Amino acid sequence: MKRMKTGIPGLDEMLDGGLIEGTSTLLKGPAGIGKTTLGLQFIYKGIVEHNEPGLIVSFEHLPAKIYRDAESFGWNLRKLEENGKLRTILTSPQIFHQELMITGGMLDRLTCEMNLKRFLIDNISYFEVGYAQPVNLRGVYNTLIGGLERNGLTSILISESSHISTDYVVYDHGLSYLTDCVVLLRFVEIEGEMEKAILILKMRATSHDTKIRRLEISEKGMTIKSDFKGYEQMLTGIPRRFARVRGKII
Amino acid sequence: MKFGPEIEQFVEEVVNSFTKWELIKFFHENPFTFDTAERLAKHLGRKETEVKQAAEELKKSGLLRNGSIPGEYSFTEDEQKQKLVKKLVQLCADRTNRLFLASKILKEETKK
Repeated sequence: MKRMKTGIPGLDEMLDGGLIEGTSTLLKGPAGIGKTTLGLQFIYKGIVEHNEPGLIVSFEHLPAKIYRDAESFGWNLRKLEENGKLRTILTSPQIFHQELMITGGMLDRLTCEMNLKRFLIDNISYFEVGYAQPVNLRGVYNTLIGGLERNGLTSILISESSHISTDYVVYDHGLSYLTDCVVLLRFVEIEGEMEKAILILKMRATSHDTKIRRLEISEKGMTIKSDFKGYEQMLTGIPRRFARVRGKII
Repeated sequence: MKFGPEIEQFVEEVVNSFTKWELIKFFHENPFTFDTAERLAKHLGRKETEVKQAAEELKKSGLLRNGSIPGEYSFTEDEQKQKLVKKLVQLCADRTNRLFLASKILKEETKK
């Protein structure tokens, strides 16, 4: 199994060497936690460090805004786009869904023309609100995952959580089941300060780190740090300290 | 002629309304947009009917095109047209040129 390096220091170690080529990863977390940063870093580093062209599909953020945000980390996406290594598309969930079903549609065509390897969609939650008529979302997600697999793309699907910290069990129309890997990002309160945490919840066909780790975002991008040693109940968002005395937790 | 004959003609014949100018500028800045008039209107903060009419007229001028999905608009792939748009956007980085463009569009709009 070929591994695709994420370009995020510390994350590949958590993923036992990186994402498996051709698989899809669901990245869930609340607003402001760094989902888009993680996704952009995966795309940018893939192009500049591994020569793996990428496609970004945005349902709301304007590409011009995405370029600007990436610039703050020193990532010149516009230049990569000019060099034919990146394409940033703004479209609607309905159009993208229909394009997926057409033979030689947008995704098939671009994969062939650009030799695409990486894919980022920001954010998949728009499928839930982007239709005028009710749709079978599980069917839509099946089409999406099928289209990505058909084209051999290693993909990250960003999904927004409605709660700051605690909604780690949600009804997501089978998306957690359909994707090969699920990564959760969470805010946690530690001694009166908000910290960011990352957890690999699921990864098919490989072992992975089960620790909840610190996540930091600096001017160079995202880095994964140490685990929260001495704390428990992290996923509640309000962890508590514990210590072991003679083998017993107190 | 402040913009030169080529751009002036382009403004008179193609960019002759503010909505069209906003759409052209939007597609120049976000060239790989494939979207409906409804969503384009939301991105621009304008009425859907106005944006749809402007998009249809820009399609006739060859600046926009329909994709494989009904109601989908995307930017022209004609490099000459893209260069013309780029030149106009660059000129309008200057405030005096922006005012000049606005006066030209106003003049064209009053003709209708």
